[in-house]
Amino acid sequence: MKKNVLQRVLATAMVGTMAAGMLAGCSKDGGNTASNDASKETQTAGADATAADNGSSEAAPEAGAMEPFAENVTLKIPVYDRGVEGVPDVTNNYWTQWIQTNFGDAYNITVEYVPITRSDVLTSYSLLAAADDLPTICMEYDYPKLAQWANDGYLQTFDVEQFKTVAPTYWQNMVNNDLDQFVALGDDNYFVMGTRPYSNTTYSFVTFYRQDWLEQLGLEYPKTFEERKAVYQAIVDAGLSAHPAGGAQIAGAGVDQNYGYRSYPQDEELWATTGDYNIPALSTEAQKTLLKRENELFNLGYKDPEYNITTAEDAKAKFVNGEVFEYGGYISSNMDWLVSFYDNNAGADLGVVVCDGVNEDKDATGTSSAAYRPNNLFGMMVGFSSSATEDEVKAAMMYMEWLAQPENLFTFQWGIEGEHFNYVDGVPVAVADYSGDKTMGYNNNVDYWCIEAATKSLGSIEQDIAAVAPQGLPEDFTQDIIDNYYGQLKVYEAGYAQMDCLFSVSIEAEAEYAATLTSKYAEYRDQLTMCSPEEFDALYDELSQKYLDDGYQAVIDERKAAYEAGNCTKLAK
Amino acid sequence: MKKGSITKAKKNDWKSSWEKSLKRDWQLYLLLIIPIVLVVLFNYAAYPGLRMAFMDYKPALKYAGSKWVGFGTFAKIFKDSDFSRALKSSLAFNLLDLAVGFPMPIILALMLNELRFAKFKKVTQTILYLPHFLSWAVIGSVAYTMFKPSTGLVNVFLMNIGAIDQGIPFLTEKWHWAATYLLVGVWQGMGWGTILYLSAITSISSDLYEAAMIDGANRWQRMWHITLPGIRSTIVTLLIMNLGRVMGSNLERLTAFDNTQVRDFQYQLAVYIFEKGLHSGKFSMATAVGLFQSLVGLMLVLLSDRIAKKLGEDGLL
Repeated sequence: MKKNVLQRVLATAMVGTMAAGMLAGCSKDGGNTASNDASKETQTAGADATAADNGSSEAAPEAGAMEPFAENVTLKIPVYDRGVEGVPDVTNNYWTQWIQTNFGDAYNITVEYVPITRSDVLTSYSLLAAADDLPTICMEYDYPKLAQWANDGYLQTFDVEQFKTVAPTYWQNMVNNDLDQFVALGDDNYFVMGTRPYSNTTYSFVTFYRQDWLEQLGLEYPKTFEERKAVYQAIVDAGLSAHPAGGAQIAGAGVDQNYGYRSYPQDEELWATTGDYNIPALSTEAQKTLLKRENELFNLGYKDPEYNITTAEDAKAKFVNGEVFEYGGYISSNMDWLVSFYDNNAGADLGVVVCDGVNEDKDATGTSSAAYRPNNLFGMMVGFSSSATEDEVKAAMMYMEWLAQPENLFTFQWGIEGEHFNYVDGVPVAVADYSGDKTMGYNNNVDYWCIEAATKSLGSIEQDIAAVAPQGLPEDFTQDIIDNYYGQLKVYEAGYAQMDCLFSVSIEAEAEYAATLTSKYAEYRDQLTMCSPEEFDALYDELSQKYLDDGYQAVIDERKAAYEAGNCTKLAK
Repeated sequence: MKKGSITKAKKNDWKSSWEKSLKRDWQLYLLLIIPIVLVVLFNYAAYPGLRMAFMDYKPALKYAGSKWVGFGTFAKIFKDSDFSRALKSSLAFNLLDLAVGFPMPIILALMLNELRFAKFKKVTQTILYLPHFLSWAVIGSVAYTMFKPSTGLVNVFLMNIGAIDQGIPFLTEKWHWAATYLLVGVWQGMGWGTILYLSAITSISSDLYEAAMIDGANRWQRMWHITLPGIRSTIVTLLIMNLGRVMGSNLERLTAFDNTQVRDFQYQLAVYIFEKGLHSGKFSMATAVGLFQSLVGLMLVLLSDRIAKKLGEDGLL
């Protein structure tokens, strides 16, 4: 009898537990318990800071435009989830609670952050759209993605005059940076965008190389391809590294950029049709030169023979372990992999590659130079979801305006004085080893405040670089990074760094074929890198044709039609 | 007794027997609700979504705003050279998987059944089951660490003992990759696959074995003439079910073993659906290929079930 009772209780409990589990899986996260403590103190920290070239103090919201809503409005903001270790939960942390307390509660808005997988943005958004759960705003750095979203009905058009009224500071920042020209797609207004300080250079991406190896070999950092091969050979001969060029498998968009292998001044039609960085330009002469050199480095044994099954993280680890000559990455004040490098390689000396001009280099493989892809003029492009209500769109505009206020933006970017940063000679300097319950998100909360600006700015490049130059290392690279910035500026001014062509109409072939072409390119470029040098030319022609047939020709044709119709930006003369 | 009253009596009998069963085993029926809900929710509730295959479905426009395109998406897919490449690879590898992977759990179950030391048998079974619980991401990562051509542990070992001069490209050359992929699949699944066969073996009457032993049958003969025929219906049922999966493929497994040098074989339907469909936001294309896979799988199940029945087996349906 007792056994029967026990069985019944257990069975009921099991069913209850399983059902509860299922239901829990369907429920929304209700665990966002915003803490009010310490939120007010953060609001005033850094209120005196300048807002770079945003010129934000001129405009103020019209009376009534920023009034609290009578009924609570839910505002959903996308935030990149990069899966980076040590970063707090992107949807619920001190800083999301700080926004809720200081902005949300003040205007009767519930701010929810929606995680977007950084490495697969399109899929994240399409799944949200399919679930009828798009965030109030949809944002991305790439223009073609936004154009595709507009074309696929993800976005609604918006009233520019309303935006100017509700978010005058944000709008003024756009006007000051000449970004208001990108608001429309076709005849409709879809986009607003954050600023991108120093967009004409890529100073925050820095390549570190083994200065100690070069000193040991009595060599300088190579400026030409021939010099590079000589350096690699000397490194191999000295037994410093078996495969000094290293290498990693390519993944995603923006790989194998051929800007440094193009002929300058560029042909405008070629630039418009094949000159973007999202879809690799296999079939062009520039790409051929790039890959021919890769092929040569591979066949000479300088590249890692297993590079195509080496992830980016493994490639970084090889540099950190002292197996590779150089490695590049975005700088920040706290670069743990550089710290590990010095720990692993006692007495090692690193140098920073400093651009000192165009440096054209011609050899049998083709021509190269220090040309690079400057960033877009704008940072994050923002559109309003087609499923957002009028109030939700207004709440999004209010959020952008509130965050555009210098004191709010400063706190979000720098944190709290005495905890996350300290003033040194009037300039905020980040505390490199902060650990506490107010830990900031990836790269000082960049994935939250990117809606306003792509990078932090204190007003001058020297100050900005000093603020983000790696700290806590045996060497200081600040001046080299500043020099590299000015070197890149020379390249830019010489016309060797031009922004990609932007189309004011949606290029549907890009949406149709971009993912396929990215995947095919990875396959073809590895074949071209690993084939024998004698086979290269014929294989390049064969695979180029296949690539064109796979959809690249359709992309080129559609871009050409848009170019000829005048529906795109022009190459700066 | 009249026909109507017989039917009524039968109905009442059925009702009372059903009531009795429900009263006696209500806990089991309660537990049954969960899988039924799951099946309804994740299998049948998704059926209305199949209309995507016949539409140019745009998530933001929903069904109402998306255009009907009839069989347009199917026509596009069947003309796509990548689809035929994926279809060929899927069929080839699933048939190979079936040929290599299907007999292994049967052989293993027969061998395990012959083990006489209970503790050793249990430990062996547990070890054999373990790979089933490893995710393909972990298995793929371990496989690359083991089988890289220059720095993989296996190649380094073989080179160090002088067995080879150059690393074997287990995972970076398509034919080697095919063998490694299939064998790792067998290793991962064969232990778990023995469970059903071992349970079927336990249902064979021990009298048969005793009688055979008295007649002088050795182990091999007992296995061949008693055990195998005893689990034949289980084998046929599982074979039919596996044939239904000949068009499918496991994206997780394929992704774990992905690299650009083996795309000829690695590019199977699951990869096609993900890359060309979901990854590009083309839900219509993904649904159309999924529907095609399911229909072919269903036809194969029905066909093999009919063949099995003609051969005198019970079949599945």
